[in-house]
Amino acid sequence: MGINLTALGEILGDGEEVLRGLNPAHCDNGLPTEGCFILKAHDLEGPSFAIMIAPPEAQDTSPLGVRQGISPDLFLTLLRRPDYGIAQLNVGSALQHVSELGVVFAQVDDEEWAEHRSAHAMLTGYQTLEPRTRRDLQRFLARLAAEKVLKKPAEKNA
Amino acid sequence: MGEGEIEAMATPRWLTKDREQTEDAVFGLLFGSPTLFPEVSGVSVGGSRSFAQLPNVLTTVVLNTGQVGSIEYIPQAEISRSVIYQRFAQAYKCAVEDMLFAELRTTEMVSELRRKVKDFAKLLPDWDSEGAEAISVETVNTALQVIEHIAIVLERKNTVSAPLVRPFPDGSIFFKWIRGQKELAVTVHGARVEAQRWEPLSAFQSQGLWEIPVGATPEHVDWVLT
Repeated sequence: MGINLTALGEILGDGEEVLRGLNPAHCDNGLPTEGCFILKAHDLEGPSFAIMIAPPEAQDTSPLGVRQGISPDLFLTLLRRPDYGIAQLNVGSALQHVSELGVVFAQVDDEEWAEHRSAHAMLTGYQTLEPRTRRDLQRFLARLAAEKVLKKPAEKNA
Repeated sequence: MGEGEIEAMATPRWLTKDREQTEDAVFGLLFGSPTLFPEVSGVSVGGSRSFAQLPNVLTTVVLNTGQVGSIEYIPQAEISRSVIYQRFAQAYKCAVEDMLFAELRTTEMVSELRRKVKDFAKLLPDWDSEGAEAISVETVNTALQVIEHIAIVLERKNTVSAPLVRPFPDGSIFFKWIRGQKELAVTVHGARVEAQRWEPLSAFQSQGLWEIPVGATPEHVDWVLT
């Protein structure tokens, strides 16, 4: 990924929605597993997300989504392959148990997304969590993502 | 019992249907069997497809616990007293299923787990097209040992319950087991085995994350199955 980590941008607020690409190799029956959200203490780059587009009236709760978010259909064209799925997560829900521990979604440009580079966000701050909590978060994100799969990935047996 | 009956009992669908069948209590006769298997001994009215085809004659069977699967017929002459009973067929067939097929299905399930894990060894680096690590031989061998311990517990508990097993992009093998409100995750990476448990399923925080010797796997499997 062409991510410039020194250019970590705005922190996403609780009202923002993010999109996660679902690699078929890490899904089971069309639903994400923990394999979609592997988090390691030594990760330099966290899992990538897209900031989901929000309507103008959501300016107060989702300013980034209004300003530079993208639609799920557009996000699909930015994923590695068309057989990927897409899940939607609310930032506040995703971080409800770890936001006080410094885990955030941060906007960070991804040059590979060209004109949509500013719609890219990354989960970070989890690197300093205790291993147990980091695994708890992996599982929680997988469960949350499974609740709102916008597009199922193609079936694939890894 | 004829051959047709045995075939029927070997069909889980039929057994499941029968198990769910509600049957009213009826008047009948209890046989003077020496309670070899009291929870399933009972009576059945002749003509029932589950038992000897003797129309309008009261017949029964009991399981001989000393020889799994063998059937002992108790003759009509040993009828001892009248009782209110529920049809024998339901409990009897469930018992046969548990005794004869649980072990077979456990064996099949464990074989399937072994096959999957061995297949993980064939995954090349970048098997997920996102830079995933290959699954090392050491990881596969450790996971196979974990499966052996899982099999021991399943056989001891006479239970059929299979965990999900998957390769992870970091080169580990992940077992996940959900039963009721309990969830067990066992992660194998090289020679390292870690167990993590959640209860209830809605909990964010796990009960703990433990690095365990392979031989301690049964303790955690016992937990999730209990």
